[in-house]
Amino acid sequence: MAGPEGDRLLHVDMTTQTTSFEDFPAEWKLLGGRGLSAKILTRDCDPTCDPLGPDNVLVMAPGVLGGSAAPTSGRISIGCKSPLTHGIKEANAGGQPAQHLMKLGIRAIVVKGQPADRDKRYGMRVTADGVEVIDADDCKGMWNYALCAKLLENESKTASVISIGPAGEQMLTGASVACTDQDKDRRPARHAARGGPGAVMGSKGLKYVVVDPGKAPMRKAADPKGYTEVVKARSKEYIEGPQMMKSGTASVVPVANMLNTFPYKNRTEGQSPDVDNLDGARIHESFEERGGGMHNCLTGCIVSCSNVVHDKEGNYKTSALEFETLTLLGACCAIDNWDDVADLDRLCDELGLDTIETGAAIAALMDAGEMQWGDAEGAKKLFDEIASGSDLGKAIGNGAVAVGKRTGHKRIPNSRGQAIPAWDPRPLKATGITYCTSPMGADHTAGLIVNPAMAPDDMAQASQEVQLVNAVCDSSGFCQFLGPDLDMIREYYSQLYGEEVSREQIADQGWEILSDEWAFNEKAGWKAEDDVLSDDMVNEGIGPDQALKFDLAADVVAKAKVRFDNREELFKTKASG
Amino acid sequence: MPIVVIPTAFRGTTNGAAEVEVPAGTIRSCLESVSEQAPGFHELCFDKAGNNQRWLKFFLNEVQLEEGPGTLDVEVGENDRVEVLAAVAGG
Repeated sequence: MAGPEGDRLLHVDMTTQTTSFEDFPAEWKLLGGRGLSAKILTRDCDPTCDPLGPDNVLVMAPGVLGGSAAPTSGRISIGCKSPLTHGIKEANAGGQPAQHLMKLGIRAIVVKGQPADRDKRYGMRVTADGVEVIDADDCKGMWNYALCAKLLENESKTASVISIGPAGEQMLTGASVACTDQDKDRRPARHAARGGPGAVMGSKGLKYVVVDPGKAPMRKAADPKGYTEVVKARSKEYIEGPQMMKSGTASVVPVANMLNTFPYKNRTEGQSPDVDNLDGARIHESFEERGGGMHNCLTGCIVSCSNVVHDKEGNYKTSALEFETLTLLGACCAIDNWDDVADLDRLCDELGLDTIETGAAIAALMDAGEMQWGDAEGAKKLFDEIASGSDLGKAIGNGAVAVGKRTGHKRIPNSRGQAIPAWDPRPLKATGITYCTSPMGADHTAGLIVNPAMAPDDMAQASQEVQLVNAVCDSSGFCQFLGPDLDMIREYYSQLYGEEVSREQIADQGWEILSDEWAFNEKAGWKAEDDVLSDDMVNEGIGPDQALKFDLAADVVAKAKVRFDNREELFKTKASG
Repeated sequence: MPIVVIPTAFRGTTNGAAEVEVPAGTIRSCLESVSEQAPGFHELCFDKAGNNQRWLKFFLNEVQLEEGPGTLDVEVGENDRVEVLAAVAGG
């Protein structure tokens, strides 16, 4: 039976390379992913710590529904104090490790400490037989794809990997944590990327975690029949519905361009003249000649939004090539075709870098005049600089603000040190409120609202509601692309635990997650007056007559952090990122 | 008159209006009628060949219309409600 009975937290002390288990606290049973990460960090991590020092805590937490029959529910949250925003951070990824950890009853891996010898590398194996920390010096500097191929060569077919590339090992603040896909190739193509969690994993000397559940069964619900009925009904509802994410996020490119949220040349314009060559439709057209296609990144996914992109010779190139990546590594750098962006995406996955932060960093370098706009080959060579640890490479790998510091360039669109995602806060002002007020900073997965016509008086509440729903979604393990709402999530929880979860309970959970995170950030030194975007978003317009600016008053923005009463719209809000 | 429900992402073209009344006809004529009142709406709905944009899904009285060449020719009566959904999210 699922529930706290038998579930555990796996603690890893990287100072001594020892592990231990803690019984999963019963009062946390409805917490997983982001919400669980926030609780653990609140309990175990000093918010004032050096994010790359021994006192930071790295949490790898599957969602509540992971490992069960719930469709599209196997995402894993990677949490820590961010070396980029210096606040709490959660980034989540698909792939298979979350399902595997939950099958083993491990609700989170909690990594603390730091090896005395900073040149040492360690790996970890988590299986039904136990946990071991192993010497991984032979993996030092390895790129993600080669690393996972090497590791999985000696593992069973049921194993998956969580890993970092050279960027994480160098503790670059744009570094991601990779998870392997569910398919037979098990490539490290799913990344928890925003905010630099890979740098924190690197600071712990932890290069990888292999998880093998062996024949561990799927997690059972307290009410198996009721749970199965919910799974069937909700799956049918989705499959018979419009399936809006069926073509993947890359297909959003042309409409985003029309809405002035396909930023060009370091966001000096909201539309790209190269939109046709960056359109996801071109990727779909390539499937017939090159191969590739759409697939699901984790088992049990009914969305299947992930594209698999091949090169002209028909060989695998990368997966998934997303809207955000096509924007930041494409349009924002004036790189004019998806094929080059696919190469850059693969390089980011290989080194373990956030494509958003890295794209913004390269765009800043170009805007500073240190590289030609649209120089795709030059951009690819930058990854050699990053891999070799040159000063330029470090600046790129540390993100857009680091490039600004290196070049003296002032137009660095960001909030609290983190580059702004593709969805632009000038045409989408309610999303801008999310970027200002979310504990995650400028992160579209914290609460995206694509409504350019929303009345300013409605924006703060709409932002708060989607932030709350996304916080609950990212705790459940559901992918945001399934579009779950609070009623759907509580319906699953009620059957999983055999106890009714009320609307008030689930809404309170979302608010509690946000409150935990805001409290952490306040202790870490975040101030309300910093709930702003960089000056360029306020002063430099885009769109017709350059009239679109993020011009909301501070008191309008601040309302998003004061709880509104629950209303029907809250329960109709679907997770969106 | 039939009502066209505008996707939230497109409401910048309708000055924030969520619904627009249009004369009865077909899905195409209904969208064309909205376009006459909403600059920019046409490009969001139709490609250069006059086909509906691929990111749209249509519901007539809450029933999803089958995707295909005939979608825009489906008749819309006086009391019908056409909902347009746009796949605009994700990253």
